[in-house]
Formats: sequence, structure tokens, C-alpha cells
Amino acid sequence: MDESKIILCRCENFTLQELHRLIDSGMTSMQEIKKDCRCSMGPCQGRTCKEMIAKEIAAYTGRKMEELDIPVSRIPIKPITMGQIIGADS
Amino acid sequence: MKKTADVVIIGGGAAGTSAAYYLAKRGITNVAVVEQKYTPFGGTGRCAAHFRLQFSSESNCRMGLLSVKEFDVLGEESGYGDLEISKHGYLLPAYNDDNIKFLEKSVAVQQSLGIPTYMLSPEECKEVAPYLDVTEIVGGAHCKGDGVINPMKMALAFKKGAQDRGVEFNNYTTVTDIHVQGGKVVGVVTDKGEIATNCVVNAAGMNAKWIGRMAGVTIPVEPEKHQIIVTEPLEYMGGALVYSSLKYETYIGQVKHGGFLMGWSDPNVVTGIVDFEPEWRVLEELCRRVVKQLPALKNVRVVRHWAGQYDVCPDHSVILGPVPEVEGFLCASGCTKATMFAPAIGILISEIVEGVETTLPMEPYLIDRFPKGELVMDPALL
Repeated sequence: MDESKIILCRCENFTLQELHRLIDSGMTSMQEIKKDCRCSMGPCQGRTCKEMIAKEIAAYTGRKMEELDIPVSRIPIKPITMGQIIGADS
Repeated sequence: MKKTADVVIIGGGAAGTSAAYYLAKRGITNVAVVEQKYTPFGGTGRCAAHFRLQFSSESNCRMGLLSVKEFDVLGEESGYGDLEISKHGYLLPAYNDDNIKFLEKSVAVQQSLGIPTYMLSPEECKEVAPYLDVTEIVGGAHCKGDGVINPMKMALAFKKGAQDRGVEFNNYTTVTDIHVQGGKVVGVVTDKGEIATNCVVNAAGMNAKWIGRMAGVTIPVEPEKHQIIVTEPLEYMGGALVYSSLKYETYIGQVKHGGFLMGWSDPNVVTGIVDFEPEWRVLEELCRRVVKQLPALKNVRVVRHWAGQYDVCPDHSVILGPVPEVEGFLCASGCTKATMFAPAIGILISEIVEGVETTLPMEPYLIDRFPKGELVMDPALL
């Protein structure tokens, strides 16, 4: 199947083709990949895609998951408005 | 990993990758970069992504001018590509006559150096930052040379440019000691082996002090926590970053990707502690201060909140170049400004290593300003 049509991170339109390109360019950790292409940095903060991307890096590089430096998902757990945060929601 | 190198750079953030890049451009390529995590992990990877020319001291203005000129060409020159730069400017609002006088003084310094900063009326403030509530604003200073860059891509561009010219990058490698003999650097010890060298560049950001100690060098840099939030992406509007250091102690700017990025200088922060935990207390106070200034953001969602460390020093100005204690030990500390001053830091370090005349006079940046009591105070800093 066409790797440019396989989307790994829906928030940032990050494809399998792009992932393989970054690994081929010498990147080994998921943190480094994230910093370059924003995968797992959208509204879901990686909660949908992170595991899948990590598994694909592990499979492609033959490395263990624990060696991949997988980023943490930042707070908030779900996006909330600034109004909700200060208790002044319209 | 190399066994010997002409230069070992400790730190793969903005300062370290930039030093590597400009050294390589000078043909000094027997260089190893040692980074404890990845590029860019520390301050650069967590920073507020903006750069500016609006300072009150000439030495800071000069660092800014030299850097912005390089930002304009770095993406193409390094072969990396787009760095998501936009020069939407910083707007520093004034809330009373004293603020106006303060800003006018800084603007005069900037204009004398050719920096295009101008005082604006409240109506003009609204034009450059349409989302800003200007009811309580009596004027402001705006400079079209300031703007935003993607700091990750900037560091990765420096890295690519350096790597393509032969510089070696060692990620996930920790420096454990620096060997000094007869007052000279002779080697760097890491958890992956030892590199013999006569020149070490300390670009370790928040860890600069501890790297200094390994060589018996005292560096007055301390980690200080700073927290940032970013919203969901909106259409990029090109409005100015609102830097209300004179009242709310916040900055609010939109990055090219579309998110509004903002931070607040928390007065309760404890200096000297490395702490990556974001706090609800800060999030709530920051949002309160932001919604007061940009009411429309009330209905915009926050997607991410994180904490990083500033590398603060007593006068908040950069510390660059040699130290009196040890020969071959060079400081490359941005002291909260490593991203925005990255090109200038790299250029000056590369010139010092090669032993040629530096592009800027070094006195205001040298570490010996502290014992001499010649601090570079810049009231324009948050």
C-alpha cells in the first residue's frame, strides 16, 4: 500500500512515508522525530497515535520500545478553553 | 565516537548546534557534539519560539541584529528548508506616562543602532495586534524586525548543516568529567567513552554550572523553571506578539503553525531547582492575565502546558567566550536567550576558536564582568 496515504498522526497529517524518511535520515528516538515533524503534538497530544508510531519505529529499526524515548502526553488530558480554566466560560 | 577532536561541544540545543554549524562553515569540522538527550531537548526544545531586537542595552541589540540576519538565510543555507519564520514584531504596550518614557528611552537606543522600532498610538497598537483590547493602553513600542521561528527546526537546521560538513553528533551521551592538566583542558569523559581535546564549549544551558564544576570553573548560571501553554491552531493572522512586561508580565504570540503560545513570569518560582512539572496554579493565573488582554482567546482551547528551565545569570545577559581559570574552556550560555541569539552565539564562538577578530566587541559578554562588577543590566528583559 502507498505509504504516503497511511496516516499515523491524524492531528498533524503525519504519514508512514514521512516517518520512514526521518528514520532513514538518521533519527532514532521518537522525541527527535516529534521535534522535527510535530507528530503527537496536536489536540490529542499523542493519546491516539503515540503507541502506533512507537511500534512502527521499533519494527522499522529493530529496536525495543523502551529504547525509543517515547514522549509523555502533556496536560490537559483533553483540550479545554481558557474560559473554562478560569471559570468564566461563555 | 571520536577519540580525539579539535573541539568538543557539550549540549545539542540552540547554542551547541549553532556553534557546531559556524565552526563547520569555517572549516573546523573535527568537532564532536555531546548531548545528554536529543536535539533540542532542554531550554531550546521548550522555549517560547520568538526572537526580538527590542532591548535596552546596545550589547543585547547587537546580538539580536546579528542573529536575525542569519535567521533570514539559515533555512536555505543549511539545506534544511523552511524554519517557519514570520516577522510579526513584538508590541510592548504602555499603561501610563512612565511606561511611555521608559519605552522611548529603549527605542532611542534601538534606533541609534538602525533597529526599526517605533512608538505607536493605542489605535496603531490595535492595527498591529487586532486581537488586543487597547482600552487601558496609552501607547506602545513595536519593531518589525522581531518575530517567531520554529526553534526545533532551527536547531535541527544547524545540526544538519554541521553534520553534512562532517561534525559528529552524539545523542543520549552524558558528560561525566572534564580533564584539566596544568590549567588546560585535555579531555572530556562521557558514559560512552573519552575524547581527547584542548577545547571544550560549554553549551549546556541549564546545566552550565555543573559542567563548569567538572573543570573547576565557576559559572554563575542557575536553572529557573518557566511554564508555557499553547492553544489549538487557528488561522495564522500575522499580528504582533504582545509582550506586556510593564503590567501583566506575560507574552502572547501566535506561531506560524497557528497556536497561540504564551507564558507568565511567575514571581513564586524558586531558582536553582530543575523541575519539569507544569502547575495548575500557573496555568490558571496565566489564563486570567491573557483573557484580560485578549478577550477573544477565552473561547480558544489550550492543548498543551509544559515547563522548561531558563538558564539565568545575575544580569540576564549572555556569557560567552574564555574563562580566567582554565585555558581551552569556552562558555556559550544564552542565559534565557539562546534561541533568539543562537546565530550570534555560534558565530562569536567559532571566531574565538579560530583566533580571528570577533564580529562584535566581546567585553559585555565575557564572564569576568561579574568579578569586575561590570554587569550588563537591561531593563527591557522580563
